[in-house]
Amino acid sequence: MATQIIGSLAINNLLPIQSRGAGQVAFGPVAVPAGYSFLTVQFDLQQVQTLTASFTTAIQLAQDGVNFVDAGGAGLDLAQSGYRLVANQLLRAVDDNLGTGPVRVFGQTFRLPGTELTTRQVKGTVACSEAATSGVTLMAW
Amino acid sequence: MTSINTSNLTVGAGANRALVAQIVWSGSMSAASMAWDNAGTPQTVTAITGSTATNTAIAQCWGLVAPTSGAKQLHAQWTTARDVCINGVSWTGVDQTGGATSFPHGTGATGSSTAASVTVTSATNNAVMAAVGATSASIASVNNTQSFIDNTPATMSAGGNRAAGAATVAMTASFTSTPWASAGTDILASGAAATQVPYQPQYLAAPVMAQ
Repeated sequence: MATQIIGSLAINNLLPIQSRGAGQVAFGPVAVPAGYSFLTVQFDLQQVQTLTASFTTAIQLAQDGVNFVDAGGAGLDLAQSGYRLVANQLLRAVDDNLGTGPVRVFGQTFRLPGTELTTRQVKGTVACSEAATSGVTLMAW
Repeated sequence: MTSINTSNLTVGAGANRALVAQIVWSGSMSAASMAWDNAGTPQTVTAITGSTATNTAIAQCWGLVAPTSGAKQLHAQWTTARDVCINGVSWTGVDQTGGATSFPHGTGATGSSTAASVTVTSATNNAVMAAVGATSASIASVNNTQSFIDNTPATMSAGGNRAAGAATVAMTASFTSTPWASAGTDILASGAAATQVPYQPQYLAAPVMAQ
């Protein structure tokens, strides 16, 4: 089952969900239309069957479309997450205030300043430390 | 997530600098650490003594004196996957001793009303900062000077504010519902008044972990 995301203005299925080896994938530069305030990078975790992998993303933004600067990043280290692997499914910790249900996604939203600009470009990387079945979706909104 | 990097923060070159980070997690976590200039020569940012509150959400203020000037990366990591919001503000004119001397009177408060408030002991010429968060409510506003409000994470809302020092300073926020947690700190002036770097951009990271 793939994650379906609704409500955003533009969705880019950067990496379809499939078995992937460890490593890093770069994306972009991608033009960000005027008016968009955020970029969300979201990893699908529904078929991840390990508690040792780390998922990370890092973003760079060029307001003028040329000069990229670091705009932030985030990581999920499953070994530090408190998640459980039960019947090949990631579940939240037993004391999680959201309950003990399945973990479906991991993501980070980045603020994109300069919403009036038509020149903005964004690029970045997504990475996983070991082989896993996952995918990555970009959403601008 | 278990780590976050924010990179839209520039610390100016003024004298007696300090960096204060407002951070809110969506639930219990442990082994938190924070560093400024994480991608260069990391400087450890430390949790300000007493500046913490837990009410499902955890709100804290962290501080560092003499942060390296420039556009650097503020990094935080912890154990137990949580949503998080983090915001950094740099100051000049701050006592450079560090720890509870530079960041005294750390305090926290929790509640179940729609008006969050934490009262920080301070003094004229000092400054005050606070962070506030909730897991089941949106923040409508904060008093004094807003440093950020973020209602976009899937499992929490967070905000922060700052104010000039006085004998006591109430740092408040208005919520749509409850419960909330708020943490504040005093920032000790180096002799002259502590002043927020006027051109300091503030960065807000708004993660999502919809589950």
